[in-house]
Amino acid sequence: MGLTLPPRQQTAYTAIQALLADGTRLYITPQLLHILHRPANLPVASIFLPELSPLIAGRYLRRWARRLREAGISREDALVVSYASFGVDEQMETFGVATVLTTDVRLKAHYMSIFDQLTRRFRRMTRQLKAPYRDAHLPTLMTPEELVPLLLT
Amino acid sequence: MTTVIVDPTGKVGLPEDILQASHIQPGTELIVIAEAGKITLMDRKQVLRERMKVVDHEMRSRLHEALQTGGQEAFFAGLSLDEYLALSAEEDKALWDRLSQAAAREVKVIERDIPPHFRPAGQGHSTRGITRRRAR
Repeated sequence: MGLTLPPRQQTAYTAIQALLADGTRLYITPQLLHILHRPANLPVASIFLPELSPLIAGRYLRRWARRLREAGISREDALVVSYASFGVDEQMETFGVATVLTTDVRLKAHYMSIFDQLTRRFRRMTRQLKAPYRDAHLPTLMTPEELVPLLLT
Repeated sequence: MTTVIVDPTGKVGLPEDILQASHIQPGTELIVIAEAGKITLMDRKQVLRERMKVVDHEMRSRLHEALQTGGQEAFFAGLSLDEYLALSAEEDKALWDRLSQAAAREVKVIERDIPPHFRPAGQGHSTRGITRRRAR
């Protein structure tokens, strides 16, 4: 098909293409899965869902999401970022993810501006937890514009 | 055509002109694809680009099928594909904020214990993981 995407969508699509080509496991939250499962969204879901693995909520996910909200991150974004630390992939027997890919540059900028503070708070919370929770980590947030050059050049 | 010889230890030295013509620098990590009577050396990034073409083909096939089976008029959130792609960044963000807020209300988060042998992604069985958020 000769579909030409606008630059913003093309960069995001290139990032997804490169990640899939590289064999990276791509995750989504149950909330995004819920959106894609709506009948009105099934056409787009049929394109991407086969490539995405839903995470399930691990213990302490809501607690960390509350801490993120206290740090000025919106309720919805806090959930996503908390899944990146405490979301579980039962098939791979892992939890958390390395990187959150986002097109929300304001979220990324805010996250980076409070990252040191978040890291300290995260460590205070996790160091008193038992295994495997104490090994949880904070993700990196990246935009497609940042990710694509890393993968392709 | 250049000829090289596999030495008794299995090593092959690539002549300077071959490296220059291929734009491959000494020290570059190459992927080796072997077939009967044929060995292909490819730059890892080049392999990635080749695989991306396969991914793109698969995605476009799915898009074509989705558009053929009703997605032409309503592709996402009641918008056609053209209408969705024409959204400004602000309109796109507003749409996703609305959908995300509704989903956060509608999906109850039920936590489960993580078994002690599970490892953080990137340190165990899985090498990497990415949560996709609004990457469209």
